[in-house]
Amino acid sequence: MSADRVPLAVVGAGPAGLAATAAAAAAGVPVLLLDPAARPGGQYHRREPRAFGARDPHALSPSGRDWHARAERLLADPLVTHRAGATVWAAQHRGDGVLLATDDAAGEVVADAVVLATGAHERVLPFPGWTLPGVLTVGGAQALLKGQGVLPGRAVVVAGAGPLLLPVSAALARAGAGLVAVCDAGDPRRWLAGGPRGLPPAKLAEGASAVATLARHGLAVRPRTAAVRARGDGRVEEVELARLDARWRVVPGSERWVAADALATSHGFVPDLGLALALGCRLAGGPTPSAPPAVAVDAYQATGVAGVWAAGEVTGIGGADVAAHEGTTAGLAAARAVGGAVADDALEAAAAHRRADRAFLTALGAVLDVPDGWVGWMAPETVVCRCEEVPLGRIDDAIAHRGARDVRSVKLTTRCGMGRCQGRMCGANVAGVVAARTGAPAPDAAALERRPVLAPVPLGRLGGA
Amino acid sequence: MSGVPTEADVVVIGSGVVGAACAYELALALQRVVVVDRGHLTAGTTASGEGNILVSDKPPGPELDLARASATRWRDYAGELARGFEYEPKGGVVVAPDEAQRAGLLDLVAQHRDVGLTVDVVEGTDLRLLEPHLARDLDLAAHYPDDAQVQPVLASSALLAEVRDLGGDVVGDCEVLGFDHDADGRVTAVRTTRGTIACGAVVNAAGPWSPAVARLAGTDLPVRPRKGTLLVTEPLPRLVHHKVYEAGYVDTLTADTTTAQVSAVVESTAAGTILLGSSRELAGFDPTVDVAVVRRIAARAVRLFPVLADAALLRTYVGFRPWVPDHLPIVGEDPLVRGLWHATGHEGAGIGLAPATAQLVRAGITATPAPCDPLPFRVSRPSLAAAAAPVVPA
Repeated sequence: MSADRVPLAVVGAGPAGLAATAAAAAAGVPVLLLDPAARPGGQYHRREPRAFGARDPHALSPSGRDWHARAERLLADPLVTHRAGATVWAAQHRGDGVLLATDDAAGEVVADAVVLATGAHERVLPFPGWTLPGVLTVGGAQALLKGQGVLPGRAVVVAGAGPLLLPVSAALARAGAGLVAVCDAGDPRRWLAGGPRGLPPAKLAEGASAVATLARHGLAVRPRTAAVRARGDGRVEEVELARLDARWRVVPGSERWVAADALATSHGFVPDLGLALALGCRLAGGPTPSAPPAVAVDAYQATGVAGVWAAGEVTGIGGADVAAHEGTTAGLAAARAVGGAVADDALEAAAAHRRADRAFLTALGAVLDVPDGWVGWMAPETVVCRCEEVPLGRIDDAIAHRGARDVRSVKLTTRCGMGRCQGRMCGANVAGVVAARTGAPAPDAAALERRPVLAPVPLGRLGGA
Repeated sequence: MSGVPTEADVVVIGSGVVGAACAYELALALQRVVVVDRGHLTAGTTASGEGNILVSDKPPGPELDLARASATRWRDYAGELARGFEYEPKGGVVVAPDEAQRAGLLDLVAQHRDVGLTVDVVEGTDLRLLEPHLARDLDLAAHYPDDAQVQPVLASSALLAEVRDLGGDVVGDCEVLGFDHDADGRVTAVRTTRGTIACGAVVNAAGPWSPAVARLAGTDLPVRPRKGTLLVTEPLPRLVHHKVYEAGYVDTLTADTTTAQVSAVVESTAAGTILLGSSRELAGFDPTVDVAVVRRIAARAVRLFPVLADAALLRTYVGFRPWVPDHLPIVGEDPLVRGLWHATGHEGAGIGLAPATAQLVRAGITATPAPCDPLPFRVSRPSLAAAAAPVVPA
C-alpha cells in the first residue's frame, strides 16, 4: 500500500488537536487532522460545551466565544485537511517518518511530524451490580441529557469522583431528574490541595454555583460516600450508599440502601495512551501515586520520540483549557520542526501557559486520586472486565494459583483486557486489583494500555497484497 | 527482595513452556527443582505463541519423532494436570491455494503415510463438512486428526503449579548472573540476583535468550531470535473448526530470510477469537508490529476464509522464536560445560515439542529411558558446526 506523505498530522480533533492544528496552520504548515468523529470538537465540544466543569465555555475556551464557527473557519483553511471518520488503528515509527494506518478509504499516511491529541476516557470502578441496566457513566448521563434531551431516570443517584460530578449533578437537578443523592467518594477539601492559587476563581465560582443549584433542589453533596452496590430485577432498583474512609474503604455499619432507577457513576479519567505507546513514547506518573500514567512531555510538548509531540489529556488530565494551551505549544513546536515560520517568543509564550497551569493541575490531580479501598467493594463474582466477562474471583485465582503477579500475567491467564475495548474500560481497575493484592508499589499500570491495534478494524479493509 | 532456595537438584532457567515442562518432568522424577525467570513468569516466547501441537508440518525425521512423542504426552497432561489449559485435539487441515503448494502437499502426505502418520486427503463435500467457510476454490486438503492446540500461557502456568505442588520453587524477577564450576568445569551453582543456588544440573530453557545464558557459562549456542507476528480477531461464533494453514507454511519454516515470510495459519481459540498467522523474519529483537506484515497476514487469511473479511481485528502481537540454522531443537548436555543442559531452539514449535523435550532432558539428567533418540538434537551435531548463520541486523 502506498502512503501519502504529509508534513504534519494531528490525531484527535478535540480542544488540544484543534489548537495544534490552528497553531501549525498559522505558521504556514499544511496539517492533516484525523479524527474518528464526523464533526470536530472531541468529547468536550461535541457533547456539551460545559462538560468539564460547569464553567462558561465561551469565557474559558481559548478558541473564542463562537467556538464552533471558529472551528468551521479553521477547517475551511486551505492548509487544513480534516479527515473525519478516520480512526487510526495502527502506527509505526519508521526511518522516513511516522506511519499512521487509518480505517477509512485512504488507508495510510506517512507524516514527518505528528501531534498526538487522543484525549482520555472515563474510569468506572466496579462494584456488585455495576453492570445492571440503569447504571451508566456520569459522562454518559450528561451526553444523554445534553445530546438527546433524555433523563437517565426519575430517581437518580450520582456517585463517583472527579470534576464531572458536580456540574452533571446540577444539570440533572435542573432538568428534573429527581436526584436521590449526590455522592463524592473523595473529600471536597482536596480541591484545595494545590494551595489557594490552585483553582482559578472562575472555577471556584462555578463549583459554588453547582452546589447552590443542588441546594435549591434540597440536595447537598455527600463527601466520602460511594455507591458500593446496586441491585434490582433486570435493572437497577436500589443502590447501596456507604461512607468511606480516607483510603475509600467502606466504613462498617454506614451502608444504606436507597431506591433509585438510575445510577450515574464514574471516577475520573484515564488518558488514551494506545497510539503514544505504539510509537514508543515514554510515560510519566501523575501528580499522585494512584493517578493513571500519561505521556511524558517536555516544556514544548515533545515526547522524546523523534517527530512526535503530544498535547491534552493524553499527557495528563487537565481539562479543555489546559489541553488547548498544550495543543498550541505542540502545534507551534511541531510546525517549526517541519519548517514552519514560528517565532521564538510565540513558542515561549505558549509554553508559559503550561507552566501557569501547573498549580491547577496539582489541584486536579488530587481530585482525581483514587485510593485502592474500592477493591474491597467487590464480591468474587463482580465482573471486572466486561468485554470478556472476567469476575474478580478469576483474577484472584490467577494471582493465588497461577503465579500471576503483574498486570500482563493476569491478562494472559484470565483474558482481562483482551476483548473489544482492549482494556480501555478495565485496564486501570485490573492494575488496581493487582496492586492491592500483591502489594506491588508500582505495577505496570500501562500494561493493558499497550494495544498495537488501536481500534477494531475489519480484516477485509486492511487490503494487503 | 525475597531470596531463592540455597540448594536444588536442578535449576531450570526460563519459565516458558519448555522450562515449565522440563521442571514438571524432573519433579515427577523426584528431582528437587527451582525454576528461575529474569522477568515475569511465562511472559516471553510462550506468551506470544499460538499454542500449536503439530505433527502435520514436520517431514519425517527426528523432529517428527519428537513431535509425535510430545503430542502423546500433551494428551496425558490434559488428563493429569490439576488446572486446565484449553487443550483442544481439533486436528489440522492443510490447504493448497495454488498448483505448486498442491504438489508439495501431496508429496508430504505420501511421506507421512510411509511413517504411519494418520492423514486423510479430503476433497469436495468432505472438505466443506470439515470447514464450511473455506474459500470455494480450495478443493483439496489434507486432514491430520492428531494436530491439537493449547492456550500456551495457561499450559505453562498449569505445569508450573504442578511443580510447586510437587515441592519445587518457581521464582520470577530472578536474573541469572553467572555460574560456579568445580575443578573439572562442571556447573555446581547458579548465581542469581536473588541469591546463589547450589545444584547438580542446570537446564537452559531461555528460548531466544538461551545464548546469553550459555555465554554466562563460558559456552555458546547458534540460536537467534526469529520474529513472528500474530493477529487476533474479535470473538466470533465458530467459523473455523480446525487449525487450517496453507501448505506453503511448511516451506516458510526453513526459508531463512531477513524480510518477512508470510503464509496463512488460521484457527479458532476456546475464547472464540480467531488467531491469524504467520510471519517469520530474522530481524533481531525488534518488537515493532509492522503494519505491512499485518496487512499481508490479513489478506492471506481472507484468501482462505473470505468470511473473515468482516471480522474485526482486535489485537496483534509479536514474539521472538528461538531459531537454529539447521531447524532442529537443541536438547542435551553441553559438551564443554558439564551439568549444563540446553533445551532450546524450537523456533515456532516449542509449545508442541515441550513435553518430549522435557522427557529427553529428564532422561539425560536422571539416566532414565528417553521417549525418542536424543542424538539428533545434541549440541555437538555436525549440522550446527557447519551451518553459517545468515546476516542478522543488529
